[in-house]
Amino acid sequence: MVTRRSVLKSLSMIGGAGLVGGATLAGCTPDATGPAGAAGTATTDERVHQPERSPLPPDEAPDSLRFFTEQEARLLEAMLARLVPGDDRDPGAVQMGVATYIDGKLADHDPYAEPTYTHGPFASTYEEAPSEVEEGAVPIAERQLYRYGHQGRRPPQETYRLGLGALDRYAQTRYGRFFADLGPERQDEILVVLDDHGQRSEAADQVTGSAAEGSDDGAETSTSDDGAETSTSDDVLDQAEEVFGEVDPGGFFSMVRTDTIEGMFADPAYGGNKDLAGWRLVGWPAAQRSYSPEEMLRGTDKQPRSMHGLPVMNPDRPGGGRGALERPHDHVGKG
Amino acid sequence: MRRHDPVDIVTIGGGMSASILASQILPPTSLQMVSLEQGPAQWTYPDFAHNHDSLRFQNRFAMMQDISRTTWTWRPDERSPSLPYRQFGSFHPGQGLGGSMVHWTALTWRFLPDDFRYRSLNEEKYGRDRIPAEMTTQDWPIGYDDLEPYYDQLEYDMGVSGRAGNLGGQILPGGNPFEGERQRPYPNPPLARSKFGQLFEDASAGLDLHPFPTPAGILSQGYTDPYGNTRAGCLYCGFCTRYGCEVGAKTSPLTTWLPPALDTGRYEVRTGCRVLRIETADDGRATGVRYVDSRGEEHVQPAEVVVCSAFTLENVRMLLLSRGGAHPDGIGNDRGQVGRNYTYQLEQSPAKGLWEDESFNFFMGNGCTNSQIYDYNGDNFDHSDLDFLGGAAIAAAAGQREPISSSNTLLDGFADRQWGAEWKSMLGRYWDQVGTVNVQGDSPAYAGNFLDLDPTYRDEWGLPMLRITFDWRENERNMHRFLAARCEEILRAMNPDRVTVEAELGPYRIDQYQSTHPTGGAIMGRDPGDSVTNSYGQVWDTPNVFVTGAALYPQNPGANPTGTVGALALRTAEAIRDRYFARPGELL
Repeated sequence: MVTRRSVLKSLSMIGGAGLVGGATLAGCTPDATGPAGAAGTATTDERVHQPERSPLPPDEAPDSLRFFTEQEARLLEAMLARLVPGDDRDPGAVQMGVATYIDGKLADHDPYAEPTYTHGPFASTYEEAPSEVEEGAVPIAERQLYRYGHQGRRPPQETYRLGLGALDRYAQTRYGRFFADLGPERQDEILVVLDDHGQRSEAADQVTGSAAEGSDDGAETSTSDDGAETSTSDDVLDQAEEVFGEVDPGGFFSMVRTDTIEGMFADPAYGGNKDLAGWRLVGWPAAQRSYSPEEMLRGTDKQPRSMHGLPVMNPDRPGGGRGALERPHDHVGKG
Repeated sequence: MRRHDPVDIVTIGGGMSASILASQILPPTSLQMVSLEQGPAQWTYPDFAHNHDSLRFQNRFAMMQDISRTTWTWRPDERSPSLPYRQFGSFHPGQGLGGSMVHWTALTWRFLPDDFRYRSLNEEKYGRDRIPAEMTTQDWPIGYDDLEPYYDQLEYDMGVSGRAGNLGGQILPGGNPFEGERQRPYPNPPLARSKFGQLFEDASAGLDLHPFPTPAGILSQGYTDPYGNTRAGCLYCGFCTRYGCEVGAKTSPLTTWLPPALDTGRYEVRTGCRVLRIETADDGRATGVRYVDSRGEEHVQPAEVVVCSAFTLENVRMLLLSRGGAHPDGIGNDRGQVGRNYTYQLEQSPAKGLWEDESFNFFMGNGCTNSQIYDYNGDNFDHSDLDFLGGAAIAAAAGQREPISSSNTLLDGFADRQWGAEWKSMLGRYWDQVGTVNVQGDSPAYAGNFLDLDPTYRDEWGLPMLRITFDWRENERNMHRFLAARCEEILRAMNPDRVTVEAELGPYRIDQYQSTHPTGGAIMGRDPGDSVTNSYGQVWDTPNVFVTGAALYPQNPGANPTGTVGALALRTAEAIRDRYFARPGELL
């Protein structure tokens, strides 16, 4: 059956087919071995393909677990319920289906959903001297690591699996119960530790940095101090690190938080943002074709709409290279 | 290995510069040109007809270079080890037909006349001792007046929307009074103004500053360009930076230069092709390029002229990778100049306000539907008693806000924790009621900031990656502190209920997006002893190799680089077309 969604899907991929062997666009060939002007002869199958990265959303929003076990999903939802609390009247991350979104992200991508360089050598941090790190690793001072961005070698799937396990171990260590069985206040105390752990490298660098620079010139009126200090003591952070073992507690927390924001605000086709609740929360009309200059100054009545509710563009619009696309060309340099 | 028939010109990269060269050189001549583009083919229609997918374009970087196969490495200084840029952060080079100019934000500037004389101007005005010993900034080999005709052509090619500030020496109200003298006004009126931009404009005018609408490579109305392309005006849909424009209102090679170039029948773009190196003969001349296609087959494309027209970083890398008998350290590097004067852009949002009862429709419009001031850019203000040189444009936050890419940091400084019940309720209430005043500042060159080949990391084809060594210096930290105070003054005049200010510039970090404005590394100059190319981007030691783009900048002024990339490409195209082929291989 040809659904509207699959038509749209194929539409948006035509012309992106240059990477598929043999498909040739007029004026643009993937290499000079294909027949010139083969765009007209490419079959539909050749045109509709999954690109190497950032594939289009699934045809149907997923509604069953494909990566997490039931137990893991329950634990993840306990965490989500504290990150973005809610209920049926005022949906939070759980009600928006964020767990389904994350499950789909981890199931559909191996290992990363965004382009990621995954080859070594990898970084290993030291506190005092580079000689602390194992042979073959790149020694980086612990307080500098945040500046280099993502450097982990562990795929996100493993980070989730091990991180969720560690979260329960840490809850047991601190309060003698599984995370999901703790009250909201206790759960928040745990998440605060993880959050603060993630900011430790940066905070340490900023303290060191400003000490080395000497005195400021008095612009202290309303300087923001976020991130420069954390409320959790070093002892507590060290303990969390020890219990989490091979997973970085701050890195795990940050990954869940980032994915939660994605699941709240990505198009519902990806499994989260159920009933457009994320977009309704912030008042974003989402997929619209246009706003007028008047609306830019006075606001709009447009209501949130998913991208599959967008009207199709006029296929006969001239310009934009379409003429060149259809016109046969004498190709040069075909050897 | 497959060897092709020779062509006159081969370009590495099928983006802005390549399409400008093709559109200027081919129509009036009988020359043949091939471009090799690593990404896929793509066109306004149908590829961008249905692209309002925040996740795919904002968070999964659908239009960007595939850094799982090759990336760049970075370290803050020579003493620290480098690590790969494993995921997108600081900058976003694009790939695909049209290059980064397809997903760009479209601010289209002329650099200030002073920008071309950074060193001599500061030395004359403030004394040699004001330039730190490590600072290696230098004057450009050309001035504003040399480039003005090409800026003019570029603006009419692109249909730039804006308001002139200095028309033939006459300062016009509402424009940028600090801009260089222009021969014609912008071809189109400014884009529609956002509510926040209007507020910024009123507040800064009240402080006796000189706000003006951002000059945009986005059409404010229907426009037929000199090539006969008829294009629609902007619909302010709010999906602009990181997307291809679905109506072609945002100028790119696809809307403007590729159609006339392809019309000649003598221009071919081979997509999915990755260049490995420039081939050279024993006498040092380039003979063509070696590349692999999407199936991994190797090709050689011989050509009289080779143009490095890819992104800044890849152009520098290509020169360094092209080591041969006559150029043991790479093309252009016979005197050790390649990689020197790598610069960036100081792009920050130092002052942020929250309005309890005012929402701004930030989700509409694009990255240019705002206003700017140039009062604190370049040398537009007196630096005699200041502890830094240079400056920045100051601008109101523009439009195109999407929750998926803004919610992570929007409430930093306002909410204690960036999660939890309080955060959620604040996000719901204030998502459209928080706005920033931003700076885009210059980046002077320093001996310790440079590009070279990484000794450890190699790409999928076994070639060394490019290593970036870069960090901010005292001059930029002092400049940021000064600018943050100016931003705060303007912001407070906009009457927010709450304010947070980040006065200190932290160390450079590659994980946070700042701008896709890496510049320098293959700089132009007057002399082979202090540069890689002449003012045409022609490589001193290999005159049939040209470099285009922002790698040519001796240092980066406080403005988006694209306008000058285009003006330089038009000037180079004219010189290659009218003069080079009369005496091939000789310096222009």
